[in-house]
Amino acid sequence: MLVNLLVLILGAGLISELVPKNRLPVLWSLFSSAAVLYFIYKLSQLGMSPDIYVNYPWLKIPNLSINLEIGINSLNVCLVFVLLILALLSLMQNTFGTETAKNSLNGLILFNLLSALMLVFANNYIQMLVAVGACDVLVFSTINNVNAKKKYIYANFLADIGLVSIFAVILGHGGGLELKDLGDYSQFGHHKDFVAILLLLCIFIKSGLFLFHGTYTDIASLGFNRLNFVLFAATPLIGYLVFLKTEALLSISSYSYPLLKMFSLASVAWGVFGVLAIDHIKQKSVYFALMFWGAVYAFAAFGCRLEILDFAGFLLSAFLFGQVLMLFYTAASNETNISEMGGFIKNLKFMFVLLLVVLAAYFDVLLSLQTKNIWLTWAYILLFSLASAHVLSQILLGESRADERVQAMLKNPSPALWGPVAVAAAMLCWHFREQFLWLAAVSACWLMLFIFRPLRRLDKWYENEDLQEADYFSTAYELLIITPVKVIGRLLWLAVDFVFIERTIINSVQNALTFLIFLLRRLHSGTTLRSLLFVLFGFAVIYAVWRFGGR
Amino acid sequence: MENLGSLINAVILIPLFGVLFASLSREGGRERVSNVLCVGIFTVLSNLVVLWRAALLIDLDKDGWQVVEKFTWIKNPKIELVFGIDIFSLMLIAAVHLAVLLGMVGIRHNTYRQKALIVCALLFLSMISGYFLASDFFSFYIFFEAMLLPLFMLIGIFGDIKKQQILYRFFLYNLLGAVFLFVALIVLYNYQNVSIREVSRIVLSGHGEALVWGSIFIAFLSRIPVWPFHYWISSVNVNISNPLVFIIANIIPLSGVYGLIRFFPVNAPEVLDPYLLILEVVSIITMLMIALIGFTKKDIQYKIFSYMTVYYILYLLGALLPTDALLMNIGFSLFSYLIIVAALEVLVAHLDNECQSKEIGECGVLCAVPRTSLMFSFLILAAIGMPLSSVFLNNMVIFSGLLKFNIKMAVCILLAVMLASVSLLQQLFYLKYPPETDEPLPPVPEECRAADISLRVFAVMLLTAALLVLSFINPLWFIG
Repeated sequence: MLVNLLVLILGAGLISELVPKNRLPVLWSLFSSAAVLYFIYKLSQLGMSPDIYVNYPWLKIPNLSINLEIGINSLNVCLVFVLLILALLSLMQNTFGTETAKNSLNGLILFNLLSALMLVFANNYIQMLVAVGACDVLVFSTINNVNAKKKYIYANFLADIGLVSIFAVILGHGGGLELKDLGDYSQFGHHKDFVAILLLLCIFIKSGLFLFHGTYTDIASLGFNRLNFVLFAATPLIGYLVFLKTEALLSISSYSYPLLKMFSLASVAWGVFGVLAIDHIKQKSVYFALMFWGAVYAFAAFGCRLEILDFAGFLLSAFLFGQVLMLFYTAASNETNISEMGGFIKNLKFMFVLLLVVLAAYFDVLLSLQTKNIWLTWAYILLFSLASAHVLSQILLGESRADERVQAMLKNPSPALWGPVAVAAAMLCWHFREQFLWLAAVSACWLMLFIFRPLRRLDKWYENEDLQEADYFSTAYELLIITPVKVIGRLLWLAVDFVFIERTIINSVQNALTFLIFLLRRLHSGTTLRSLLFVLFGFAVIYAVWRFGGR
Repeated sequence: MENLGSLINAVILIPLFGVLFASLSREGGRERVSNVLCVGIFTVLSNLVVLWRAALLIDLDKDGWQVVEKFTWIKNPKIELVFGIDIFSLMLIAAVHLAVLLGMVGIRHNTYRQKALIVCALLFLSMISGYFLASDFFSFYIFFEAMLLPLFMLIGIFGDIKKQQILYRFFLYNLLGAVFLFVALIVLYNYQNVSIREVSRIVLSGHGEALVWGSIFIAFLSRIPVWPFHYWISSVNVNISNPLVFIIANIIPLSGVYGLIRFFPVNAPEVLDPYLLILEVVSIITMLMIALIGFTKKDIQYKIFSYMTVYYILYLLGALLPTDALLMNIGFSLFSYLIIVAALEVLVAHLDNECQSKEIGECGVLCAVPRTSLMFSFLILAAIGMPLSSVFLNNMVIFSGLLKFNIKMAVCILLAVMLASVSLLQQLFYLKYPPETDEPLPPVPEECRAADISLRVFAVMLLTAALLVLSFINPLWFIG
């Protein structure tokens, strides 16, 4: 059954890619959504403890014998569900949203879903690496902005090379292909620090954590649905899945967890700063995602990695929050700057209710994490509440700065757009409903922050153009890495190729040959004296051979 | 087995028959594709069918040469030409044929001296097939040198303005290699006439051993773009715009890598160990240097050359490891690599031609040509090692061997591979996207817009992409 469902998704993806870009987009989007919905339905029939395992011998080449493994069990079923729901929500938004090239995006969403599922099912690291690589190619195609594409592929290609190198080291030192055996690497492995640190860096790049978040800041120019899909259902998620699969490797180095703590906390902090400082709503969404991924890794860094169910809920709620921001953006006729919004609550009362439902779901999930690490959970709740209340208060309660067109067009989005978000949020609320009192308290606090907006002084950052357009990390990479590499390359070309080989070796040989030819020509002038000289030279050679040749 | 023997002969002879037919056919034709080009394509396709048949007859479980065909050439002194085949040689021959076939597709509208081009290309195919099948010193040497003849003619005919200088360099470097190999093989033959695979049986004195093996080293290295030998190949690459000639010129380093793979490492005597270390160090420095230069250069031909050099040296270093366990992985990876580079070169030549004929800049040229753009992106992603061809998994295995052997060396290699790949990506973005401006770009008139590849060429490219994906799923897909 599982294989049939995967083939169904593959088929639906192929159809979406092969039909013309803008031909019957709603129909094809609904068809793709129906395929995913059918998958969810069939999976739900199996309950929360399914046990399906299929193993295909895939490839047998020298030094590698790989099986393709597909299996759902109680450990990964939640992840499969959440991947399907994220894909379904993206497809539904795509059906009724304003995306161009909908059919193509549907196909890419479905293919990405397949590659993510193959990663979830992977029990060997070759399957994992193939899934990671496939996802990169798909997301590369999904991103339809030049600069974003460029940054994305450079960063992720380097991460892929890093991942390949790590597993090449393990393969080279006799480690098996199975992911479950990675823990044994601490006993037989070599270059343990190198392996663990490189692995972490690759994961950070994929998930776009602090220092590597530049990969995703430029994707703010994408359509909002595409953006949310990339931020929550594609590469950053793949990074975290790789982390889950390979966590055993991190324990082989004493540097791993301090590094993880540093980067995850810095990501949350930088995410908060970005949300507060940047005016662009899509970039805010990117920074909210940075906060989210930072928090997810922070739990792992402090030894309380989220259970799969908790992670699934957390991911879905963060995605839904991103979708709510998207709905505000849509309602405001695609106005990108928060500072240009304000006072929308009069026209967007329903959206405010939807926001509260989504926030309730978010806080429900967060409150359920208290048992993991109470300090981290409450710190994140506080930071998220401050940041989200600051942004949404400006949109809904702030002084109105929207232009007349935006004001005139302001209305709640169609039910086709908010419906799926509301259903998913309600389901999340229902599933994580245990701490009602805490939820009421947190929601009340959030409302207070929303109404009083304590960080309103930070609004002046929106007017600082340098801050809004600054790209510190890209500039630093350009100055510290790219420019020196270019200078060295240029110098090498000039010094080695041009001066040394062209001007020295080749010219010297050429000149020497010319001189030899000139000399022989002079000697071979045809006069009797010169001929006699050559005859004498010939006799000298014959004598030398006769005299010394026998020895 | 007898049947396989005749197939081996056919692999060498069919291109020669093709040469004959191509020489006799009319240049030009009634259709858009000329007669001589049809002869060329038909010959290569026929040979691919023969190769496929041979592949089906090869016993995969058996190691080493599968068949030996012997022809006595001279009785006194006894000189026999011996041919054999294994799956590694077969993969290389097939890859070279497919690369040349793609090159032929790339020159279908190029009418300048097409007959000479096809004749030389087929002659080259015959010679290089002979080289990959050669199993004794003499046939090995004959084909090693004979394959240069068509290339020499091709550079002479199709080289750009600096062709005299390039021919001079070509002659200088290859003469050096030829002389060294000739002397070494004569000395080896003088001791004992054995097949190449049994060359380690020959016992030489200490100095003799170093001299002979050193000569063999230099001979093969003269073909590989290892410093300072890289210079002639880079000169050829930068000065040739004909895709078929470019592809053939870039197959020449393969002959050097193949030679070293056949002679080393299992056969290399211990006396060479220090020299091997020097070679490895020089190779890695070359890799890094060429990758860095490729990163700074704006010329796509140089970037492709830089990528090819880095990968050739990667395969060479993989082959030089003290194990032959990686041989098949190198073969599988080389198969895709050659096809990718050939297909890329065809697209680059098309774009170059369009830019020159319509006097438009290269930057953003792919915007107007969706079919070319799609294939270009696919090929670049496959080239940099995304899971789209057999390069992905097999390179990983090669890296694992290198990392196990010496991690510092392997990290340098990885750096070079990364730089070369990033250079290709850089070029993709340069060709794919126009410079970003705040003001909207004025509409480009139709006559100033680059034309896309034709549907036929697109179909060939799609088939190539399918072939690469198949090789990723199963590198030996053609034999089930």
